[in-house]
Amino acid sequence: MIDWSWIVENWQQIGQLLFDHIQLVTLGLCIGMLLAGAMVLLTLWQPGLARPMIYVSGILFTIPSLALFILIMPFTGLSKTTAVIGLSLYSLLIVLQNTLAGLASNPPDVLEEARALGYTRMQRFFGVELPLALPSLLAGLRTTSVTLVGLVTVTALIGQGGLGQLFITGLAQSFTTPVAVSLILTVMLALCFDFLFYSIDKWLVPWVR
Amino acid sequence: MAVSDLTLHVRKGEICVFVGPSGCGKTTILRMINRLDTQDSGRICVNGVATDELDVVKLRRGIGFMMQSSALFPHQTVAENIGAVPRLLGWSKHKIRQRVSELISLVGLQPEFLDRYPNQLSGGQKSRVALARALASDPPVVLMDEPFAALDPVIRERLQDELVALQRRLHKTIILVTHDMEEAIKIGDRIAIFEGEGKLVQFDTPHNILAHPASEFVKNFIGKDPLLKRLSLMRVSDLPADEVNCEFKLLLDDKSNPLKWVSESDVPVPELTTVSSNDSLHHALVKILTAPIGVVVRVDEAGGYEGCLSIASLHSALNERRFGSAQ
Repeated sequence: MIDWSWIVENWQQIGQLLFDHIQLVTLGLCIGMLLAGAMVLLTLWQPGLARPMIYVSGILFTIPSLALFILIMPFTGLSKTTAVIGLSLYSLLIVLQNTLAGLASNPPDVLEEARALGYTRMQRFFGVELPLALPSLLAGLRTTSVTLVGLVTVTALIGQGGLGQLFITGLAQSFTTPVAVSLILTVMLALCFDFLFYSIDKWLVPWVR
Repeated sequence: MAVSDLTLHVRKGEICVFVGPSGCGKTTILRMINRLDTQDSGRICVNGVATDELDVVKLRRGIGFMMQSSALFPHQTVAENIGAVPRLLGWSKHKIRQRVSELISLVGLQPEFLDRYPNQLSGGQKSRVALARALASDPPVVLMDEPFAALDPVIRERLQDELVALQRRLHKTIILVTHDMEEAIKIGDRIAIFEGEGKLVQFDTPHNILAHPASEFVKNFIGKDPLLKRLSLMRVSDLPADEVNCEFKLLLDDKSNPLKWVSESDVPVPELTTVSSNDSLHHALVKILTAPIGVVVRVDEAGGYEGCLSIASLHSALNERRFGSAQ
């Protein structure tokens, strides 16, 4: 059923696609995280913005991924930029929601105590609030990375997509080997990202047991 | 309006306890001192400086604060928690480490606790760490908002005792809020009783409040048997020593430590009961009531004979005090 010789002949191309895949996920994750960070800082300055942000990102998240890419396409065409914008937007939504939810559920007495001991607003945020919200933030990154690994395959439809392109190839030629390779590599990649953030969480958050 | 028209002066180096029913504004008054809450009008001075003339962050770093839920930082170890304010103040790492190990023994915890996280501590241990954190930068003023209310009674009593003992060494100005009159009597040098909306109804020593409650409200708040509470505030050494005045004679050894009762007749000799001059009169009363002949022997801290104590001596002492202080 699986044509091993095809895999051997095309391993270089498969490797390239895997690399593209990882690159797209990482780019989407990093840009999304930076944007989310900026927006969280904005809520420090304007606390009233947090609620509408959670609300709007919840609504945006319901837009189907393919529709989102098609909506962006008129501006940036069938390019990597289109893929990265879409992926970043999704990661922004998930990370932002998780981080804001984490910050909102911080114990109020601990924040009050920090205030009473003479922490400034910034010291309180970086010294107490952010570290306490770290588990939620990392859980958000974990979900995001796994979601993005899947989403990148969809961008194959706009000519990007890393391993997703193997789906299209296999489908067009009614040839199962590329589809199987793509499937297995995608799942393994998702598991790797999941484990990565799980390990970071264990390392950075030793105080939750 | 939570508090209105309040004038109150807390003396340097005393434990001043704010007590009253919930919603009487006592916590608001406490929180106004380090500006967690702000007053609409009026002045609050700490060490003669009005608090609203100082930078709020500086003000708070100079005042220790401890709240009911110890509110330790869950992501920091015990050592990091205790060192929080010194870190904010920019102390050197070495100095912070030294101060932290000093404090951990001051509040009665073993040094191995320093590396633990708060979720590995019991309620009593958390309170001790919170106390150490409040004292970390050696602030002259410490505010405590119901610090022991969430603890079980045994641990609470122990921590109350330790706070009193600590205060004898540290001489901080402590303002402590509680709704528990027993706690106020036990640890307060002076007690401010609030009735509602920050209305101060009496501000005096525990002794005077128990002996002369200012109103019906205070009387009810003190509860039953204020006399027994007064006895627990007084020590045996507060009374003059009486001579033995009963049918038995007391035998002393060569160091003048009492040995036993002796009798000239054939009457069976009762067992000897002693109280230390350091014991509370409450404790002495129980001893007197259980002693077979109603007389206990007073000894000093080294165990040397001082005199005797009976119901009659307690009775006359309390009455003298009542009339004495009423004049």
